[in-house]
Amino acid sequence: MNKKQKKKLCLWIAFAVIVIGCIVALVISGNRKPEVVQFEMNNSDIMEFNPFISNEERLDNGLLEYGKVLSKYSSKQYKDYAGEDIVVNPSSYTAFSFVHDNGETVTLNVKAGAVENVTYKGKTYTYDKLEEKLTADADADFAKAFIAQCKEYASSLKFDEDYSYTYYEDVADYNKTSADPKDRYAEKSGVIKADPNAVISTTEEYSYTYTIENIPEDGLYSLSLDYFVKKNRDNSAVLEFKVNGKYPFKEAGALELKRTYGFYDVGSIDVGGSEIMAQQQELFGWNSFVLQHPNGIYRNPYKFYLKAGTNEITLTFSREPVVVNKIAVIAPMDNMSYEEYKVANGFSEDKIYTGDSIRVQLEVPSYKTNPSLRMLYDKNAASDPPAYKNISYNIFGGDRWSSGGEGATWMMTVPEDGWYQLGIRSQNTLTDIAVYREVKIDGVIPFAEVEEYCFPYVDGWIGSAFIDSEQNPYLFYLTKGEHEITLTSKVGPLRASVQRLTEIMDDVSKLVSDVAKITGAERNDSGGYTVDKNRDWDLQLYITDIQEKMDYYVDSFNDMYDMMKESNGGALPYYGSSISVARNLFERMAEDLEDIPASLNDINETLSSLSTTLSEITVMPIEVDYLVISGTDEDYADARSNSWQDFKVACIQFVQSFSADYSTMGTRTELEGESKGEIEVYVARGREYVDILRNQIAETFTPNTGIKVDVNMVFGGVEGLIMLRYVAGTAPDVALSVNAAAPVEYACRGALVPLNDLNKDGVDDGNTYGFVDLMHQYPQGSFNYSAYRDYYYSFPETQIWNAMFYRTDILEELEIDVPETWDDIYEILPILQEHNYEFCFNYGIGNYYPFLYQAGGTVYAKDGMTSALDSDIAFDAFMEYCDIYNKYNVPYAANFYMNFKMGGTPIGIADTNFYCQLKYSAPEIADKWKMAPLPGHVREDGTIDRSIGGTLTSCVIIDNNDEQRTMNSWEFLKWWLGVETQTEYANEVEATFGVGSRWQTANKEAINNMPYTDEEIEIIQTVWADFEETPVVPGGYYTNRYLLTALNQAILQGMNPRVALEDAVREINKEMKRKQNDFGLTDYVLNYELIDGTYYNKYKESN
Amino acid sequence: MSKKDKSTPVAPKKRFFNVETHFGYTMHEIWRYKISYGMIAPFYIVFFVFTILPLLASSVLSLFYFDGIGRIEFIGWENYIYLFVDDPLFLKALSNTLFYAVIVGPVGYLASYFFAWFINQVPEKIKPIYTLAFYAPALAQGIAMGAVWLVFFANDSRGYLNSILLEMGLVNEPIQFLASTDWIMPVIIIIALWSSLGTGFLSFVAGFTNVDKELFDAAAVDGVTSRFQRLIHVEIPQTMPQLLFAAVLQITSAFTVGAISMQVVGHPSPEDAGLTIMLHLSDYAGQRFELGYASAIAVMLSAMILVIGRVAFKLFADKG
Repeated sequence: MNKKQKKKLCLWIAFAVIVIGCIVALVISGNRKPEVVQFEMNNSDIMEFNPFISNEERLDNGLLEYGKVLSKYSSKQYKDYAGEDIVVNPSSYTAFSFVHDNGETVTLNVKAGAVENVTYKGKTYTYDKLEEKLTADADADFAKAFIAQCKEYASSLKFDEDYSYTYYEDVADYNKTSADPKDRYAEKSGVIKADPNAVISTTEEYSYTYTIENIPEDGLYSLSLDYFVKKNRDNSAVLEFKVNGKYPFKEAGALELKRTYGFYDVGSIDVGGSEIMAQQQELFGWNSFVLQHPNGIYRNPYKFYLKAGTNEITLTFSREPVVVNKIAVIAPMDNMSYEEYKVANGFSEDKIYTGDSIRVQLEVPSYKTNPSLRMLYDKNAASDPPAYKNISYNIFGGDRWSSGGEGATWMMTVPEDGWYQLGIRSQNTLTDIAVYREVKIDGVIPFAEVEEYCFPYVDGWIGSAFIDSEQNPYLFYLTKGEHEITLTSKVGPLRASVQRLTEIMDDVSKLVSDVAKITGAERNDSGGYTVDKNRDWDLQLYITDIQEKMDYYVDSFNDMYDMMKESNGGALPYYGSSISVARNLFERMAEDLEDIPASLNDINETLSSLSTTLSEITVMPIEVDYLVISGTDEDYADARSNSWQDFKVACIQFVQSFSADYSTMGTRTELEGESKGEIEVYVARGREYVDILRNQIAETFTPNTGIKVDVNMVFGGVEGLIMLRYVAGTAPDVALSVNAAAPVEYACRGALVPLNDLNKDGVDDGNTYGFVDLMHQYPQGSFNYSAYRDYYYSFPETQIWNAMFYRTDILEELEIDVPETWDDIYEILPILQEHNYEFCFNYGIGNYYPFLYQAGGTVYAKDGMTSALDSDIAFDAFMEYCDIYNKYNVPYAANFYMNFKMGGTPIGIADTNFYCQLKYSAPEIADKWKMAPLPGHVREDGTIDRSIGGTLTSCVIIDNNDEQRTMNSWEFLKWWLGVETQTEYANEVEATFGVGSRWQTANKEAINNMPYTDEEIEIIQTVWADFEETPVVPGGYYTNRYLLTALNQAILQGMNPRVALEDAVREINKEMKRKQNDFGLTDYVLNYELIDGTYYNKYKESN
Repeated sequence: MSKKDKSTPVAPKKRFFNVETHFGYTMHEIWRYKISYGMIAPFYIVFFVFTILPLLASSVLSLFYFDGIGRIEFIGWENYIYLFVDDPLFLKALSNTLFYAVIVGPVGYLASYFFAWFINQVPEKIKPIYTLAFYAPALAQGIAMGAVWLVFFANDSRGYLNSILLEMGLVNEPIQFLASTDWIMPVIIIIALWSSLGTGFLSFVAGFTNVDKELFDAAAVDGVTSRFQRLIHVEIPQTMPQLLFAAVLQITSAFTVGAISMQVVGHPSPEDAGLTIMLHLSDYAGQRFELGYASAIAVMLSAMILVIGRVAFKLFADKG
């Protein structure tokens, strides 16, 4: 061996050593066995009072949080009632109230099952007297109608008709892949029998008052209800609860009666061998419910004080129709400790189960509280069943199972009576976040330690028994046979921090506005404060306790910081850093109070990050895979994959990634029988959206029409891709999610099929449901986007709405009525500004158009050949719009969301996204805001014109010169845009993503079925009735550009608005002319006369 | 040597091409060096397909009206006539681009050269660290844009620059850096300068490294005493090829600016203050579906780059 060879050999050996070393290191690190370390901490529902709310202890209980009321109770040493349930017959109410159409609350007082008299406007009358009174006040017709209505209400409260519903039951085995739903599940009908004891409510507000005479002793009681919610929208019903006419605690005004959901069509496999997401349905039946916090804030159900003897309780139902058949005043829950539980059930060592351990899969719960709770798939090698080869839904929960109060129930069967150890394979999906779940067996919490059981954070999947703080497993006594186990998410010990943080944020934002008033800080255009930095303020002169306040904030932040670490098992949760940032800021200001005026913007910024924290604290996701029922020797070794398995899975997935066929994903089977052809659909939306669409197509479209649909998910915009593929001659047939301004650009170049010509009355395909019928389900102003010459070329798909949002608390404080018109707004603006509040209406072209439309103007002339912005109407609207910024000094680029939350901007105009954002991530102001229809201008006939546009996406059919395909495409669009499909799709999307990404359907009728409240739907419909968008005309893109320039010049640069607008119109007309020449257009661009005669449009009326 | 060699005349080697003709001779030579040609073929094929061909195609297309979807029609010089006579925005774009090019081109170029020269002075071992530090902005431009610059120049009082200015009391209201027509081009230019030490800079670093060290001794003998003199008399002449290469790159990148403007102010920008030729072009191609006219702009742009590129060749190639 020569030197060179030796060197080579050495190198090889070194290389091999390194590689082996790496592998060994990987294996060791991958195989280290982390353990679940359970810990103990103080966890009670009682909350401290805030020293800076003067005399908070003496406030009425109805204004206090439950935790604080509890602390009052405990200082008064009230005892828990411990006797038998006191059952109240729901139909034995002594008074019933409803809200009359005229806004007055009417109470019917009942004695011995008959209406005795009526309370109206604070006075009590018999029916006859009331009729007299009303006749005198108003007129006889009104009085008659009023009495009739009262009587009708009184007679319609009984649940005297059977409630029947349909549900689906799985009939297929797990391997059946039939496309025909009949082979997979069967439709069954169920009935809830009429019950003479039960009472009902509707979506309106119904109040029942009960007089309970036999309360045995002074003490604390709980209340339980048996109810079900009738099918309406997928919301829970709202329940308000009063004792002797008052809320026993603040949260009693916002209880929820939840619905129950379950899965069907479980385990279907698509042609590629992947599992298809099961469908879900609502399960009807009586639910038993003990009043408790809807979001799992408190550990135990609510307790309230009743005096001995006669008490009155009032239950008010609203939002969804409820039926209640049992009300009981019961002893508050007092669970025994684990030691007591063992004694009570006769624990002995020899009764511990010794057989083989049993695995219960948790991906499909029998029932669950929220539609968004779903099975998921996890590709970990140890997940059972494995999902790394083909998708198989093998776990449950995850990010969807993260808010308090959401629960799921699974069935388990045990072989013999005895003591069992229960364990779960789970994974905490948020790093370093411990989560809390309530454990119930057969609907009962077995012992107090699992009221809020903590799943401490461990990196990756882990299997562990339920263990105590000494890491010894709990044993559960189970009898032979079936049992239910329920896990419900809870907020846990951080409830006190949530409360304190909410109070502090409230307090601090008030302080900020006080300081701003004292220092005369001005608001700049982005909504921040401009303060004279060179001046010193002696704030203590004005706010005498400011030093104490600052110290209290610092202490509170320190407490919270410690608490967060403690309740998390010692690790700092990810949101903890914002607390320490806030602490540092307030520490700095507490040391030097003169710093405060200059730090207002910092404080606001900190507040906004704290409000994010506030919503993050209660987010506690966990994924669960299976439950293990075993004796004491279970070691959960196979719950965690080792690195060799992980490596294998990675390799398999890598290899598979070359052959995966996404186009067949979710397709059940090759269609049997005659096919009417195939169409290709482009969608530029996320994977989940497309999956839901595919599922629905396979479910209802293809089986009914015989048309196969190839749904292609494309990235980015579809518009450019369509153009390229059209030129190449291989264009798809249908494109969804198209930017609404694009279709006309394609249409005028002949690439699209005119939809209204295609199927005007639906006669062509033998059914009478055609373009015009479908069109009437959509806001008519949205079709402005799709019209070009004599045809409509696109159909709206999603569409946002604009509305006015306001803070009820602040407007009440300022005694301002909700504005209806812009004149009202101009009136309240000085009042707002006087109190250092702002109105939000950011500047942009979309916000100028409402003024134009509401004044009766249009953007283009009737024929669409020239710009109409040079008309007097347009100019006046332009002036009015500029004045909002120039004269009324409204900030033109403010962050509405943040300022709205903080209270600095209590009123403003925003869209659907803002609504979703508030619903999703602003829980702290959930009951402090409302929406109202957009302000408008009064029309000549006295009604208010609230026209405004809004972003929308649309659907188009591309002209492929193939009539069969075109008709199939239209068939598809009719199906997709119809009420049923849109409703179903919206429900699915909301179930998948939650309220934060609500499907913004443009279908007016489908929106009625969505989980908005009646009030909100009315507002949306009002806004959409006047919906008005700008048509797209050749060269029209110049309108937005030059209008923006004109606005810039008139608002930002102080140029004469008339000159700015005239310059813009000249440029716009020039470009339009140029484009018209290109297309050889000499007569008209828009022609509304040729389209459906009943269709209302401003362009038709203008000239 | 055998007898056969002498007796039998060497048979003329079979040739594929007639070497008598010029073309044949060329082809023959190519065939002779087929390995070498094979080596450079991938580049030339790609260069031809993706650069030359599109350039030719768009020169042809610039004589047509073409909307990308339907109509295509020969219209002769009309696109060019419109471009020169009737399109005020093109002039705006041209002036913005020239403004940008005149500043970023030379300043960026000189900065690259001098930073490379400075780096050349530091010890060999830490040189790569410096090089990376200076080159990193060019690599990270896209990310830095969102993470650094847009925050730095943000319009509200939370923008770093505005915050600093407000803190120092120099301004009372935040300056609209990203919305005011006066500020848009300067902001774009500042950002561009920050990331201008790109490939040209790397070539300079390489060029300096390649300068023959013996020349320094020779120069010292001839009386060069300072480093600056060394730069003038030895290093500049020695790095002429890199100077040319970087100049061409710099010119091209300066004239095709667009992405930065797009990221900073979007398109269309307020009063077209950030409009460049490149954006004007993509506006016509992407939004107005006038591919013929867009091609005409593209041809004009290439012509400009070509002319100025020739100037650069004249400047650097002669002396090299």
